[in-house]
Amino acid sequence: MKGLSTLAAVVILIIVVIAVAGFFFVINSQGGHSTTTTSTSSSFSTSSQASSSQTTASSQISASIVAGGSTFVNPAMQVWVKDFQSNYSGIQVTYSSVGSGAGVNNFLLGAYDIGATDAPPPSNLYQQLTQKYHEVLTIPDVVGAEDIIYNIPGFHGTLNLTADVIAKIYLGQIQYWDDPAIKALNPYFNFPHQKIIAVHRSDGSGTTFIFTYWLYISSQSWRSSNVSYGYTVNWPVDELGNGLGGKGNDGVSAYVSQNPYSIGYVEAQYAIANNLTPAAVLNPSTGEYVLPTQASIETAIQNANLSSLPSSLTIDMTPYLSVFLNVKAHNAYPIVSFSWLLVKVNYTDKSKAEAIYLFLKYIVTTGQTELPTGYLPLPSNIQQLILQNLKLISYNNMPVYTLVS
Amino acid sequence: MITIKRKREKIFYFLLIPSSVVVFTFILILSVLVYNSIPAYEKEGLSIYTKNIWNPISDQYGGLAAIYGTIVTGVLSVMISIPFATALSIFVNDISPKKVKSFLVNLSDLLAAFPTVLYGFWGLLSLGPFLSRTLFTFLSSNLGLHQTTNGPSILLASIILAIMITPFASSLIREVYFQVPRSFEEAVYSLGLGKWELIMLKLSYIKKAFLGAYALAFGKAVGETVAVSLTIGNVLNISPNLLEPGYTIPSLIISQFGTAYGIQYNVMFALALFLVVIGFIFIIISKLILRVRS
Repeated sequence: MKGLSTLAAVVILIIVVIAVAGFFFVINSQGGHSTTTTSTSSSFSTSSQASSSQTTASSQISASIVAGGSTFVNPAMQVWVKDFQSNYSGIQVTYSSVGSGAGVNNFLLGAYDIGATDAPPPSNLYQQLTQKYHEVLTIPDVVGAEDIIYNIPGFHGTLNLTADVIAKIYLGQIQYWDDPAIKALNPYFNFPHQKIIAVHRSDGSGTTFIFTYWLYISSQSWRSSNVSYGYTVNWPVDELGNGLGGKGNDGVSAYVSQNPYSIGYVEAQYAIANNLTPAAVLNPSTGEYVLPTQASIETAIQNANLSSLPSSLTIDMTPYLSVFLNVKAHNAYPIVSFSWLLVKVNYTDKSKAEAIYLFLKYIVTTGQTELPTGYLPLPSNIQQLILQNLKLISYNNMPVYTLVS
Repeated sequence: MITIKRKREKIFYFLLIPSSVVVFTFILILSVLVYNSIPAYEKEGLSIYTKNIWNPISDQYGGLAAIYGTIVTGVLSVMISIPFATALSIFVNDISPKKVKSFLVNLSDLLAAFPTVLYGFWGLLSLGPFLSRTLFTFLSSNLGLHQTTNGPSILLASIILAIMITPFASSLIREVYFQVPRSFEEAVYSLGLGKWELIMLKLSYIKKAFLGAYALAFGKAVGETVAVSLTIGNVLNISPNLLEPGYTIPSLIISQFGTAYGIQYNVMFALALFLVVIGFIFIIISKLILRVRS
């Protein structure tokens, strides 16, 4: 029996060793969090291999693309993936609707080939991306808008709001619906003395990014608080006990429809799908209160100053976030923005580079005509800009567009 | 004789596999948690447990609100659950007819096996608004606690948790209660005492096992994720007013983990480690109590 227990001890010891080894394996395989591993090491490998390979017939490319992120773009993406795969049967595309923040994060970790996000990654995150992937393309895929939704029992008609009032609600400076600032915008309704429940996202989200960025550029109160803008912010209203955090656009819509006297922000798609009443928001450029409608969002896109966009999309796009915000045109809805896709520029796998080029080209051309109802296509000059930039996608520093077109 | 012994040895080695998997898993999880927490301790120090802020923009993190919410919902749910679980255990063992007993036992086991997301949605969509109209309104008008939301709050999350852990705690208590020796009952009856006295004496007889059951139930409550996330409101709020929304460590992790990058990622691990420590302490306490009993 003594020999037996010694053996048992040895077995347990071996298992502990395996456990420790497994632990280090796990640590090493998730590189990028604490230790950044660069994937550009193979850039200098044989280019002869590339030049010797022949132009592949597009339909014969066999590759898989793993994409994910934004929940907003998911319905359109599902249509695109299905349509694209019917033309290129060898290319397997999967899209997971996990939220913008997770999309960018998984792209950074290398789990996704394409990260979809409703806001370009913030500057510090973009730096991490370029550190790891050298060059990263940030390209628009569809246009979206954000609705301010509310739940006030007994209220009929249109609620008028300004960026400053919305900012003060989320800062906790306006706490009741009968606040003079709200009454001044809506003199025809007798607001009850009820606390305003400010609903926001509890997960990191592009919707929050756009919303807080819009507040940042439109409201002095928001700028002077140091909340700033990002996928997740520290909401001052939460510490007063008047905030609620919902997971995803559906989480926010559920909380707003469940809680009387609440206010929230969601992608326009969700407001339409869930029959939530949007508020008319003041466009500070024109002084008009505009409801989010297909027409008012289109007006904003058509009149946006697109010439201010850079010619190269391999830079930090955060400064260009405001192209569609507060567009100066009659009846232009103020909170309109792009949804974006993040991709690496250089690949070491030829068929993957080709597949990604083809898929992105499909999205900005044919894909824009296949959009489900409610989505708005990219303006044609933006499409041209993206097509030019897609030519950068390369395999071992050799552009692939010549190989597949 | 020798062949029998060899066979036994083989079985012994075979049995080593599952038990060593437990050791393996524990070491792996704990070391990943500790390893990933270290950068958070280095950068933020202990303020990740003492400050209330969650700001990826300025890279400042402190999960005090989540720690507060975790402990409050855990303790409160156990307190709410105790009378119900105890009453259920007494009822099925000593009072109910046999057929009713097996029905109740099966039903409570079924409730314990329900997916937690069902409890969460039920709490959000139906129990929350109902309590908000009744109990919460009563509390706010009589105790002066201000009620803001139509349900989502620390109290709602605690009540949902209490409902979820009651079948679990009850099944543990029920079994121990059932094992009180027949001779003990006979002794009580021979003294001329009634059923009420018998129940009271039996409860005091098993009181240590009772505490152990609740330590385990507490561990279950503080680890609950989805149901709490749906009913607590997910905001960084530390308030003695239980009708206000709050946060717990698991609901903070489920909300933010997918989108965490940089030091935020490490802070999540440090908070998860804290959760493990809380759970660990309670398991040790419950084991100690159970050991003292036997």
